[in-house]
Amino acid sequence: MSPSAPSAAGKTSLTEAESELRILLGDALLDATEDHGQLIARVPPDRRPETLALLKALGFTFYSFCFGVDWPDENRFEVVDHVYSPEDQARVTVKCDVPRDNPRVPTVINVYAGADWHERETWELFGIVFAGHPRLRKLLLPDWQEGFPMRKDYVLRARVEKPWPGEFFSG
Amino acid sequence: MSESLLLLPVRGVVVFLVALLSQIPLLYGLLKISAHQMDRLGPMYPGRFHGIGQPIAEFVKWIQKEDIVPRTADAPVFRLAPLVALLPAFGVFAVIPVAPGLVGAESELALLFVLALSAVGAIAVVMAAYASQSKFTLVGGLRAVGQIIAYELPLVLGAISIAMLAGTLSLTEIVEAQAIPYALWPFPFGAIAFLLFVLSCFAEVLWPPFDMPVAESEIIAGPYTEYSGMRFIFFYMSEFAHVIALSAVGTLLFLGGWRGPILPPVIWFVLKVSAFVVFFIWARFTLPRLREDQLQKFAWKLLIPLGLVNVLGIAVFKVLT
Amino acid sequence: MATDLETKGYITAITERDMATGDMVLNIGPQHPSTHGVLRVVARLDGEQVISAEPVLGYMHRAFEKLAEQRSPMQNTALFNRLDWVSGFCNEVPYCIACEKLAGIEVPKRAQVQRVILFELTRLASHAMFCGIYGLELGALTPPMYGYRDREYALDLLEMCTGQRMHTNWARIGGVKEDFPEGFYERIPPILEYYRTRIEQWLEFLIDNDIFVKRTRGIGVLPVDVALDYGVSGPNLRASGIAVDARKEEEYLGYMDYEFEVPVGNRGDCFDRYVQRVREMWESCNIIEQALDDLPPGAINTGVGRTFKVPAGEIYIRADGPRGENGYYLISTGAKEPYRLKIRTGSFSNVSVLPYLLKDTYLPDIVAILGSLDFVVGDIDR
Repeated sequence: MSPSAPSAAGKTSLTEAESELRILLGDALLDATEDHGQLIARVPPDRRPETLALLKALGFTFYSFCFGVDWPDENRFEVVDHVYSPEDQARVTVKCDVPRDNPRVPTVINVYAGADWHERETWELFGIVFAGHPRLRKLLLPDWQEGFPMRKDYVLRARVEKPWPGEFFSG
Repeated sequence: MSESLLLLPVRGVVVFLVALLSQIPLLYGLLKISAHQMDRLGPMYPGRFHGIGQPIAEFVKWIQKEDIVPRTADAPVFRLAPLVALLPAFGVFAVIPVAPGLVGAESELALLFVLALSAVGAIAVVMAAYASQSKFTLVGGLRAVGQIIAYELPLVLGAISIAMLAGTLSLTEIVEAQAIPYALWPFPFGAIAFLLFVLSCFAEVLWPPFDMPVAESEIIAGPYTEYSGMRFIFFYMSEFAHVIALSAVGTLLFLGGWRGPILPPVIWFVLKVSAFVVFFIWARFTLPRLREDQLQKFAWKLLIPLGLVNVLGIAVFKVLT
Repeated sequence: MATDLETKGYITAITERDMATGDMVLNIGPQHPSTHGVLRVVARLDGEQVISAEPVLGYMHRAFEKLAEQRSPMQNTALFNRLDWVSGFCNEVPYCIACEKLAGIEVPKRAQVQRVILFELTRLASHAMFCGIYGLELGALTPPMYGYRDREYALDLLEMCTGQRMHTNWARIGGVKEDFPEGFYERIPPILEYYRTRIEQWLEFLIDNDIFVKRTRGIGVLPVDVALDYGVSGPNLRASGIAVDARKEEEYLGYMDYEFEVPVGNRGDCFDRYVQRVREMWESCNIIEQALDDLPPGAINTGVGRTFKVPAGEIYIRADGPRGENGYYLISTGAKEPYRLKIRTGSFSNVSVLPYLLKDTYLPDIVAILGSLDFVVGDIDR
């Protein structure tokens, strides 16, 4: 299997993916834009497993990663999944917004087995609960860790204790 | 009678010293040969001339280390295991004839004595493994026992083949029985016996390619993991003594012992044993290790049937001639 | 017990009761000679057979993503060297490309080619070390020495250019830090020749060895669909039979201008993964040769400056590093620090497939499989 030229095939596949998503989700597909070579689709959190199952069926079989973003001003978390199609060399990013006070989103472990570790990591760093995940426990952080470090209100203690010498170099 | 009784402790001490001091050139040879195989230099500084003082430096280093006995370990067995490993390995040297008449204790059953003592090492490994109360040592110890027992048989079958061909179990007489030109047993019996013997030597001393029990990349040091200081070194000294002893036995059985033109017999013996030892070191650092089940299959499905067929063939051959 | 007595007979029942064995849980690591760092594998064993094994991570978690949110781009490149420390330069490049693409900065051709040369040299160094170390996993004591010796030649070149052997810290937004020093070009072709002879020797040395083949053939077979599901990338994925290489698929660093093949394995076992990396070393040599011919004169940096602020936007850029796909998802709000930077490393996804690979193998095979995945713990834990 040799990869063909990227752009042309990729673009067709992205438009095809977008139209399929529209057919599946209808109004639930909140947003679909193409940006810097990837399709970013914004869906409601409860439609996440379906969306990814559809994408997998369309040929986006490579599960790249899943992570969270904290937007404290808008009082939401974003759960971002990134999948890739090796045949068509196209990339789709699926985003879900969850409220910051009750972050729950269904798991996609039944669609992509590789989501297991990524979801565990996102949970322990942000506190986003992946409903249906069989073993949601700490992956990278030690067991005694309290709080969710990647949230914007979790302060890096090293910065508080003494001023950072690198501040001079960062302009 | 009283004269030989008086000489007995002297002979004992001499044998012990030979067993101990012969490890110094072995260790140095190991370090230097392996280094040059790996495209590096090896020890260069101790002793000023190309690191010739390295074995002594190693000994001094090990002797001053703390003797740690883990709290949960079975202390008497833990402390006894290195001695049980060391003494039989040294004891083998008592019956090995270096030149005609130059032997610690002349015996009619020398070969049997050697093979019996080699097997006692397995007990030491099990003692070490269980007494250490650690899962890694347990895995290593069980592998070691399985391996040693499996490879005892090819070792014995190889040695017995030669004993049958020579008609005696005495090592001196086996050397005398090797016809001119030196060390040619009738083909293929001698060749098969040699193959079995050499392969089993690797497995008995737990050297690569049969060093699964001491596989450093998996179970750290196998049954010896929890040992430190002199006790640890006793295990390795017993391993080295075993290597030299088995090389010496191999020379006597297959290469003609001390026979050779011009040079005195002792020199020939030392040269032949060195050749054997160099071969062991060379193969040790070249080959990766076999997995335990592959190792066991190799012994039980290939070597032992081959050995049995060989012994049967020799019996038939002896009856016919 | 009563039913046993009735169905099997007294002696059999008693024997089975007394000789019954149990499972043993063995902790391999975190301090262990062959887990490539502080990785812990909790293995449930029945004698020598592995029933299940699960890696436990986090012993080296350094919170890179949080740290990156407080650092400017130039400081971030210094930070990301420490991710996959065996191939330091390969971690900086995708981040710089991400910032450049968001800002619309065009990198001069000379800088692109220099980046390619350093990237592939780092890949050669990493794979040469792997070839050696893998022999050590299997018990051959000599190959690691040869592997480290081969790695030294590439590290010498890196040191000559960047002053550093591992954490090169050389890529900048807009190009590279400085031009190649004098005498650098002349030194590369003999070293490539050396690597080519060594690659042939590696192919003979371990691959013709029956014991090596027995220990690696058929061990740790990774089917393509499982690999894609878990996000396995790099040489591990290509050894399973599918040619996914970011160098051919993304237009970055001008790889489209060079002719090279992407080798593919057919079985996905440890043996294939080993051969895969040896063949990739050959292709790296090809790329460096073509890049050397391709070096145009010109600037090596568009001169962005210390107060550079990355414009708002989000982008995902990936590169094909020696460990696998090394990607950065950059979400920027216009400040000099990224708002959120997700570091997607090859080793994290590669190691996530271990519970699948380690079922129903033997204890020595755990080490063989771990070694063949060629991960670096800094890459996993970030």
